[in-house]
Amino acid sequence: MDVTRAQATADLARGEQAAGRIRNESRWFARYLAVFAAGFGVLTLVLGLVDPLWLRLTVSGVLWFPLVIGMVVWAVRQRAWPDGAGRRALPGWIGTGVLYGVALFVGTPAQLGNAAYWLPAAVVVVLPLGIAAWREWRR
Amino acid sequence: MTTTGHPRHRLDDLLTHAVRFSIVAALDGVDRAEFALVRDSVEISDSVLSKQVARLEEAGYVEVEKGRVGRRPRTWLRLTTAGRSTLAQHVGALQVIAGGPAQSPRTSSAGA
Repeated sequence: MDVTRAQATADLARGEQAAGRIRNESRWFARYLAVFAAGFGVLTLVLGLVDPLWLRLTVSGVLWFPLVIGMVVWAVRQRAWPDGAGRRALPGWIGTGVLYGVALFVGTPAQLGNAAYWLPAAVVVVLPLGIAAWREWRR
Repeated sequence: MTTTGHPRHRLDDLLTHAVRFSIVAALDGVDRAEFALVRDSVEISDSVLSKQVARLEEAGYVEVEKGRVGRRPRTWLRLTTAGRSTLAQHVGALQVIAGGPAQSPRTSSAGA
């Protein structure tokens, strides 16, 4: 088969165009991670700052469970899944999960209501998953 | 297939078809993509995509997975390891023919 220089260039351009469209469609995963990162941050603040206990648990439940269900449904409906995204995001999930647990363990009950503890704690909790989202967006 | 001499020898016969090449290139870089999305991205009809995907599936380059999202049937397309490897080689040859590094669908990392 003989492929000319012009044909080869055209083929490459056509392939890049098609690949670019599909890649754009798979960028939802970065938003998915970012929303969960923000969700963890808000949850940390609610659990640390909202008083009394019944209101804290109610607000966190009302925020968290619909968020998880909504995001899972949204993810299932996506038309393209990025290659290796789950593996790339795993350190972010683990990091945020561990820091969230540590923040609650250290801060409850000693720091309940103390914004000077919970605001930085929320930022730290958000960071690993937030960084994973940012890296995914930049791919 | 030889790996020496003119780069045309490294071109894959199946991928010299423009539509098939576009389908495989479109699937590179994603784990899987919905049939309709590939159809729209490559700008072809359902029947053309079905026919070409059947050829690619037969060659072991693409996997087809059918499922449902809610009540809606969905068909997913996925590039196999063999498909990624073949694409990488084919694109490498096209780049050489085109006269050097060119824009390509994640070519340098394809098959990784």
